[in-house]
Amino acid sequence: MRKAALYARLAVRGMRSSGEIVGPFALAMACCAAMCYILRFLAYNELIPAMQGSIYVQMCLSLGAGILALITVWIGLYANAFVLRRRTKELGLYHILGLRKRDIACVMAVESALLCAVCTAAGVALGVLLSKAALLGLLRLLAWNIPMGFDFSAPAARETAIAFAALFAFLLVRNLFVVSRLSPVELLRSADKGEREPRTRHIAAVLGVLALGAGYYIALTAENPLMAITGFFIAAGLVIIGTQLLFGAGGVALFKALRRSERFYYQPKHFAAVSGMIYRMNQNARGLANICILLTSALVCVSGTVALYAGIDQSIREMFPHAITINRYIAPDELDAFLETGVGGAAERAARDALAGHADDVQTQWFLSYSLAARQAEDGSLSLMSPSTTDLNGMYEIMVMTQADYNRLHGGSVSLMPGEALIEGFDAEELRIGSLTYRRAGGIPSATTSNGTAIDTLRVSKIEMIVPDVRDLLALRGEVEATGRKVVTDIRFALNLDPAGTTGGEIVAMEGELLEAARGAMGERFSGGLKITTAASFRQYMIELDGSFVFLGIFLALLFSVATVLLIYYKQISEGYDDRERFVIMQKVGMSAAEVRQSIRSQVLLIFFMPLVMAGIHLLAASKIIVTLLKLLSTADFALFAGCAALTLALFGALYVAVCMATARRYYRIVLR
Amino acid sequence: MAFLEIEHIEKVYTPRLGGAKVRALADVSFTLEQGEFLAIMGESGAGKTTLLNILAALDKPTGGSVRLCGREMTAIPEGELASFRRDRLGFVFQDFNLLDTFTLEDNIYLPLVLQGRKINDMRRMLRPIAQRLGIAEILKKYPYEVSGGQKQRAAVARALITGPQLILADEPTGALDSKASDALLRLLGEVNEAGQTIVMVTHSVKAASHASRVLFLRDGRVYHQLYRGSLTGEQMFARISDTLTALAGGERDA
Repeated sequence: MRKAALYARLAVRGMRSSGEIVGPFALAMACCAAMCYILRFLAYNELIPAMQGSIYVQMCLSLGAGILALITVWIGLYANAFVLRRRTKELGLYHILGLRKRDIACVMAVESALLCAVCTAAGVALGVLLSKAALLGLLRLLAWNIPMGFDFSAPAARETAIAFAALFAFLLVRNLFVVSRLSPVELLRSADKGEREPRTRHIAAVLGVLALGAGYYIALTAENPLMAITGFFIAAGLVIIGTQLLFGAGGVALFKALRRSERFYYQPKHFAAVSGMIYRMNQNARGLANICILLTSALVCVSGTVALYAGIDQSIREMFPHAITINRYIAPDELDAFLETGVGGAAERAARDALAGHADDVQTQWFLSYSLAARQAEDGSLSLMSPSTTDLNGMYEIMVMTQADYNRLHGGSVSLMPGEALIEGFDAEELRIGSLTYRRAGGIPSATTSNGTAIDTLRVSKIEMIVPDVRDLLALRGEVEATGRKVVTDIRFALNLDPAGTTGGEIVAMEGELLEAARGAMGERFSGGLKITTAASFRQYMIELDGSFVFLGIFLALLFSVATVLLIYYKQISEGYDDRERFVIMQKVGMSAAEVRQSIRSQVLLIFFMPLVMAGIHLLAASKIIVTLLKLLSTADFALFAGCAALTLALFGALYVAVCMATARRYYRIVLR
Repeated sequence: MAFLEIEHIEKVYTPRLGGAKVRALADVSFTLEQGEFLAIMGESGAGKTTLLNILAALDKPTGGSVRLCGREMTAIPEGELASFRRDRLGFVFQDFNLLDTFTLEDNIYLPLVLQGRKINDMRRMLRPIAQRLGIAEILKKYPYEVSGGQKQRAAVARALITGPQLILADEPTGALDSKASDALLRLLGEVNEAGQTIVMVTHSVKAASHASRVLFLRDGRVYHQLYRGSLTGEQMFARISDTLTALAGGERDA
C-alpha cells in the first residue's frame, strides 16, 4: 500500500519535472481524444441519418475516423519516444538509488495510467464543448436546419476512453520493453553523443529527386479523371518517399552551399546557425520531412475540398442549364404515337399552367434528342463506345436533334436533305458513325438546348448535330443496338422549364405538383417513366456531398496541424538542448544574449522555411491532378482551385510562422537558462 | 597606474530561499602589471573560480572594485559586457570549449565573426598566430579529429586572435597528458614573453611554476604570494610545493 503511494509520488514528480515535454504530449493526445469524441458524437447523432444525403456524411466520418486513428497512433509513438528519450536519465537515477526494474515499471505504469486518464478526461471535456460547434458547422455546411439543445453522447465518450486506454497501454508496453533492455549505465548516460559531420548522400539525393520527379510527372500529366484517383495515391506515395530522401541529402547540400558562401557564412547571425544545422541535418531531416508532408496534406485537404464547395453554383449552372427538366425516354415503338398525339406540347402547356401561379414568368421548351458516345478512329470515322470504357482519350459525346425541333425552338428555317446534317464541334466534310454517313451542310447558327449531363463534368469533346428527320434518331439508335450492348439508350423527350422569381426551395417543393401536371397532360401511355429533375434539388445534393468533404478536409487539416505543431515544438526543444552547450561556449567567448537570440531566430527561420516552401511546391505540383479529380464531382476550374489554394497557403503559412516563432521562445529559454 | 587593480573585492552568495550566506571572496586585493604571468592557486572552495569569473566579467563582486587599464569593470553596462569580453579578454578553458560543429579555423574565427570582421582580415590575422602555435596544418580539421594538445593550442589561438589585453586561463592543462601539458605551458610562457599578460587558475604545481608570480588564495583571502624573480623552474616548483604544504597545514590548525 505504501509502495503504491511511493509509485504515485514518483510518477507525479517525474511528470511534473519534465512538464515541458510531457505537457505538449498530453495536450496533443487530449486534442486527438477530443477529435475522436467529436467524430463518434457525430456518428451517433440521430439528426444525421434522419436527413437525406447522410450517406456521404457517414462515409466522410468513417474515413475521418480511420485517418484519425492512424495519425493518433503516430503522434503517440513519436511523442512517447521523445518523452522516453528525455527521461531515461531520471529513470536510471531511480535504478541506481535502489529501485528495481519492477518498481520502475510500476512507476511507469502509474504514469501511463495517470496520463491516459488526464488526456481522455480533458479530451472528452474539450470534445463535449466543441462537438456542438462541430455539429453546427457541419449542418451549416450541409445547409440543413440547425436544432437547438446540448448533447452529450455517452457511447462516444466510452469509445474514446477505450480507444485511448488501448493506445496508452500499447505505448506503455513499448516503453517497458525499451527500458528493460537498458543497463543502468545506459539509463544514466545522457542522450547526446558526439556526431560527425554528415556527408552529402548522393545516392539518396538522386533517388529522392527521381521519386519526387516521378510523383510530379504523374501529377502534372493527369488528364483522365477516372485514372487520376489511382494516379493521385501513387503520386502521393512517391512524393512522400522523395520528400523523406531529399530532406536529408538536400538539406546537407543546401547548408554546405551556404557555408561555402563566405559572405553569408561569416556573419554573426549565420555563423553558428549554419554550422550547427549541417551537423544535425540527418536527425532533423525526418522531422522536417514529416512536417512538410503533414503540411502538404493539410493544404491539399483544405484547398481541394473548399474549391469543391465554392464551385457548387458554377457546377450547377453548367450541369443544369435549366431550372427544371421533366424527361422520359421514348421507345422506338412509342415514337409514332408520341408524335401523333402531340403529348410533348400538351405537357409543356400543363407544366406552364402549373407554374404560372408561382412564378412571374416561365420560359419553356420541349424537344426530342438522341445522345451517344463515340471515339474517333484512325480513319476519321467515329466508332461507338463500349459502356465500360474508362479511357476518355479521343472520346466524343454526340447530341442529335431534329431540324423540326430546332426550327420550332429557335424560329429557324433549316431545311436539310436526307444524309445532310448541321454539325458543330467536328470539322470534317463527312461524319461517319457506324454504317451511317452524314454530309456536313454547315454549323449550327444558334446554340442548341442541350441538357447538361453527368458526362459533362468530364469535359469530353462534344458534337452537336441537327438531322433532317426523327427517323435519323431511330437510325442512330439502331447503330448503337448493332454494337450488341445490352442496354440501349432510347430517344429522350425533355421538357425544360425556367421560372423567373422563384426560389430553389419553392421549386423543390413544387416538384411533385409539376410531375403530376405533366403526367396528366401526357395521358396514361406516357406518364409512366416520367421523371423530374431540378437544379435546386441537385444543388442540395451537391452541398451535402461537398459539404461533407469540406468538413472532412477541415477536420483532417486540424488533425495534421496538431501533429505539425507538436512536431515543431519538440524539434525546438531538442534543438535547444542540443545547442545549449554550444551557445554557452559562445557566450563565454563573447556572444551577447541579443546575438544568441538573433542567431536562434536565423536558425529557426532557415530550418523551418524548408518544409513550408517544399509544401508550397508540392501543392503547386499537385494542383493539376487535384483539379482533374475535382472534375469528377464538379466543374471546378483551375482558377477557382488556384484561388482556394493560394488562400489556404497564405493562411497556413502565417499560422506556421507564428507557431515557429512562438515555440522558438522555448528554445531561447533553454539556451539562455 | 597598474594594468589590473583589484581592491578589496568581496563576493557573497545569498541563497534564494534564505539560509546561510556563503562568502566566496572575503577581501582580495592585488595588482597586476602589464606583461605579468600570474598563477592563482588554492584548494577547492578557496575562491579561485569566483575570482576568475569576476575578472572575466561573467560575475560581479558584491563589494570592492576591479579596474582594467583604469576602467572600472563593475561599472560596465550589461549590454556592453559581451563585447567587452570579446574585445579585451581571451579565454583558455580546461575542457577547451571548442565547438564540434566548426573546424579549428572557424573556431578560432568565432570571436572575430562576432566582432563583424571581414573574412580576408580574419585570414590575415590568423596566419602568423597559426604559424607560431604550430597548428597551420590542421586548421581544416574538426576538434574531434585532433589530439587534446592540438585542441588546446587552437583554443589559445582563439584567445590570442583578437589581441586581448588579458588572457584568462582556467586549469588549461587539466585535461592534457603531461607531455601536452609541458608543451602548452612552454607555449604560454612564450606568449607571455612576447608581452601578453596572462592570469591562470590552476591546481597544478608544475603549471604554476611556469608563472612569473603565484598568488595563493585561502578562504576567500590572499594567503601568500611568490615571485619567481631569478629562480629556475625547479626552484620555483619547490617553493610552491612548500607553500601549499604550509597552506594545508594551516587548514588543519583552523
